[in-house]
Amino acid sequence: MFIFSSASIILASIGIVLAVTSFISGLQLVRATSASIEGMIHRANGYLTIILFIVLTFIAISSSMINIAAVLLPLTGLAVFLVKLWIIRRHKRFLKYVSWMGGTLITIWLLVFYINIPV
Amino acid sequence: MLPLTALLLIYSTIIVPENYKTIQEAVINASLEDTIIVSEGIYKENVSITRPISIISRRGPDFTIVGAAVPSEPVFKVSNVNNVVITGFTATGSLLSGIYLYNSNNGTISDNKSVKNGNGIILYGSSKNTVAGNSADLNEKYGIYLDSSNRNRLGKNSASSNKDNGIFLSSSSYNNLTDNSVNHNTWNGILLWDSSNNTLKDNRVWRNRFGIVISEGGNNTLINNSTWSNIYIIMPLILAYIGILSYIIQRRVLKTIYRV
Repeated sequence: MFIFSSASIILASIGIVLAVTSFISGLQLVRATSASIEGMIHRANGYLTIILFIVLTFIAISSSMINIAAVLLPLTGLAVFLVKLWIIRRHKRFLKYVSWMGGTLITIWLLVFYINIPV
Repeated sequence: MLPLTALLLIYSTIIVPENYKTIQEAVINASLEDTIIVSEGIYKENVSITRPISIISRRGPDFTIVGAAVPSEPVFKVSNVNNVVITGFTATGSLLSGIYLYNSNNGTISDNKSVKNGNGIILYGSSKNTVAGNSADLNEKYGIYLDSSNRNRLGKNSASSNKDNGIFLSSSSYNNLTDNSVNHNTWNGILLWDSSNNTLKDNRVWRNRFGIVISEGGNNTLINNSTWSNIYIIMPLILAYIGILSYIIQRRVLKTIYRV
């Protein structure tokens, strides 16, 4: 199908799916009875999106016509992700902001999707 | 139609820049039905063709770029001549058009990229030409523009991200548009104005202000064209829904595995 005619749009689509899955499990983590399962889903899907951000950045850089937005957006997503990890691991007093960061990551994935739409 | 190798044996071949430094010099010195092979490189010139010849790039449009030396003129202009072949070039930098066929018939314009011009490809008073596999993208006005041109075949072209219409047929009839991608143009995807008896088949006309517009023309045939304007608004919603389903499935699977 033409809509999925480039690797970037396929990866961006997978990214949206993973980010939504991770976001919901993240929200469920707060009040989950089986926190370990929610945590597993949250981390597994979340870490996969990191790989996608990195691959998308490399694809954007290796393109013959470099689109600055296509390079910067995955890097921004990566930065937000790392800050989120840093808060969770080191600065728990900022923990109340991580759900907002999860929402930001979904927004970034939507932008990555739109940037990579084949014309 | 004879294959390229057979053609090269029958008619003489001129190689640019080995035999002539510029494409225009080669065109001037070519005999009827000669073939000009252009090696990779960036050429700054306007090529005017007034005799039936074939101009073919050796390595394709990504390696053979012709930029307009005089921006007010087309990069390639074919005037009052039949059976011209232009294949495998990037034509750019003209305020008028990358490739312009004027009163020329039975030509073949294939596998070119006509980008960042006033218009991508223009056919004026030209009939029975084949325009196939070209990219006419990112132009200031139209991607592909046919005026008073009949019985042409436009197949597998891309006419996207132009600042007016993707493909515009004006007073042109009996043309066949098949399997073209006409996306993300500022105004109409395909506009047929005062044009009749054209056939539009299997074209993808997505994300334009208007998809296919027919005005003051009759008896045009539209078969299996897709004109989705909002596909990329719907798609993320579908993906988000798949994300929710994915969460439910993963949760069920893990609960089953860990017996929680």
